[in-house]
Amino acid sequence: MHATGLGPPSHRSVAAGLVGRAIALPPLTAFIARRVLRGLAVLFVLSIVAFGLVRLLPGNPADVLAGPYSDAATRARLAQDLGLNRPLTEQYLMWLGRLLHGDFGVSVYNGLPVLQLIKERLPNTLELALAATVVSILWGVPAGAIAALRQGRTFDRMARGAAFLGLATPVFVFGVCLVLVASIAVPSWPSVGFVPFSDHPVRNLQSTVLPALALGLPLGATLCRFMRTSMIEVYEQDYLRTALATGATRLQATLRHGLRNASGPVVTVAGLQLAGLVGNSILIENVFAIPGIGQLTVNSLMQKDYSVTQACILLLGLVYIVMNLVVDLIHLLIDPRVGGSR
Amino acid sequence: MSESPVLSDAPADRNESPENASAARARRRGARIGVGVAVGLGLLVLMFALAYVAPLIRPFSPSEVAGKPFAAPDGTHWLGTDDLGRDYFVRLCVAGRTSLSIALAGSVLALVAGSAVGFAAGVGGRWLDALLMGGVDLLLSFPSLLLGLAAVTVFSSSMTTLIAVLSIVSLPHFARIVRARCVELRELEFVLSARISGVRSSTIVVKHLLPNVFPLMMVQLANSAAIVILLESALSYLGLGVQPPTPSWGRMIAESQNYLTDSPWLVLGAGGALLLSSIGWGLIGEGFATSRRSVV
Repeated sequence: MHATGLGPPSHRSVAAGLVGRAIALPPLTAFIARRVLRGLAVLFVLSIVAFGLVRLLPGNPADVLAGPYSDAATRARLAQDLGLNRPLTEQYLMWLGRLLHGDFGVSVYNGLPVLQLIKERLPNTLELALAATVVSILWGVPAGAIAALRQGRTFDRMARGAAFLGLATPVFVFGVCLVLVASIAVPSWPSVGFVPFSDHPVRNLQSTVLPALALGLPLGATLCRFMRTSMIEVYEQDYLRTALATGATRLQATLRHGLRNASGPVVTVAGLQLAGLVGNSILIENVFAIPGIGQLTVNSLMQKDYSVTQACILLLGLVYIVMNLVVDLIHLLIDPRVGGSR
Repeated sequence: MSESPVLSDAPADRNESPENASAARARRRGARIGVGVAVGLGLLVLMFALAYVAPLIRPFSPSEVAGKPFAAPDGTHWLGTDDLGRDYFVRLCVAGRTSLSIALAGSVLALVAGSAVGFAAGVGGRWLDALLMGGVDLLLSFPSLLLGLAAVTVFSSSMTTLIAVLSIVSLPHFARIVRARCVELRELEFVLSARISGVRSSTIVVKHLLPNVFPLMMVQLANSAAIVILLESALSYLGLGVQPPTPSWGRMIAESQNYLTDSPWLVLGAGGALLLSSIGWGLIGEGFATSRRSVV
């Protein structure tokens, strides 16, 4: 037994792997099952964190609800009604039980059900996220692939410069600059403000263009970098050399063998970026005054609206976990070797 | 097809002997890295100088009214005045102190704490490793801006809180990098032989592992300083950074966004300062990372 990890490599892990495999499910099912279980575990911890963090906030929703001129008796009655004076574990379990029944509570700020607040805003955020992802893939992936193909040439340098700038630029500054440029170049363009799709589809699409660019262009920078590195690695592989030696042109070899093999790490990064979009969308929703989940999260934090904040944190965490799971599965489709090795 | 198109791709390299070619390539690359790091360092020195020296030279205070509101840039007010008539250039410089010092302090703190976690996980055995890395993964499973928002709301937004929060958010990257390198190194002969001779783990970490991991830590320091500067400005853009009257770039952008079309230089000034600082750190990180790859 090695108490520290500094000893010679132990054979225990190999043995454990063999034993596990003898009684386990088929590798693919086991892989997926393990991933789902891990996601659920993270979600559970996340729920405790969401609950605990919000309880740490200064101020008490009963005081906020009752207002600054209320008397102690009113506040106490409100706290009683909201269940705020029960033990924390009991409050947590009650909250979790209600969550599992689909009851996310009521906003103490405007009395609306949290579920309704989220339902109203989620489509806006999803639309923004989807549009931004499309923008980022549209420029990041081809730019990275072409840069790898033309390594060291002008295009490569330009793409790398653009990617560097994209990573260094704060998204909200970029967003504000886009508003500025649009207001000078096309004064009639609806640069700030949001129109729901159901109200006016054309206006909605118009008002999504700038936020999607603001969010998607910097996002593509990471994709571009990973695509480039990944493609360059692929160019050094034997199968590509074989393809070239058997008479395929560089472009043919790239399209037939390169892209698929290079896209594994890129998909991973794309998925993680999508999850990271959560943070940036908070900023962009603020720049362009879009009523989305990010704005709801910030406002609820400021208004000490416990139940809304908890629901938002859980929702954002859930998005992150599901994205990770989806990334793993897509990775598996692209490169079947992944499932066996983990 | 008789000729492969690839062979014609690099005729120059074929003519030179391999050593000459690779040496020349390394030299060329070395020169370019030098330029990148030098430009980055130059930018940062410039930003620090502007932040700490310029306000002493200019005859305005960052918090006192110095002229008419929204004056355009001219000889007296280099970047005009803001909505209350305060000199914008001096405010921009003083705000730089906040952003630059938080970025530096936050990332140095993250370096120390994250590397400690990484070393502990790398040499501390399976259970400690699983526990620490589990915690790090959990920390990574939160969007960092959201974590920052929540923490700042809980613990009020003072400079200390901001530094603490931002260092906790950037700690996982240090921990991961240091641990990964330790796991690689601990199987190598020089570490094994030290271990067999009975050297204590703590000594191994300080004498054998640290010198080998240090360059990686420095690269990550520059990278996370760039990220911390962006996060800090994002928090203060949302109104959760250092509170007025202390100026900060993020808040200045948020405030001048309302006057975007009439006085665009306000947003462009603060945004530009922010961008230049983050580019400065980024260039340094990038340059170090490339030079490390060519050396090792």
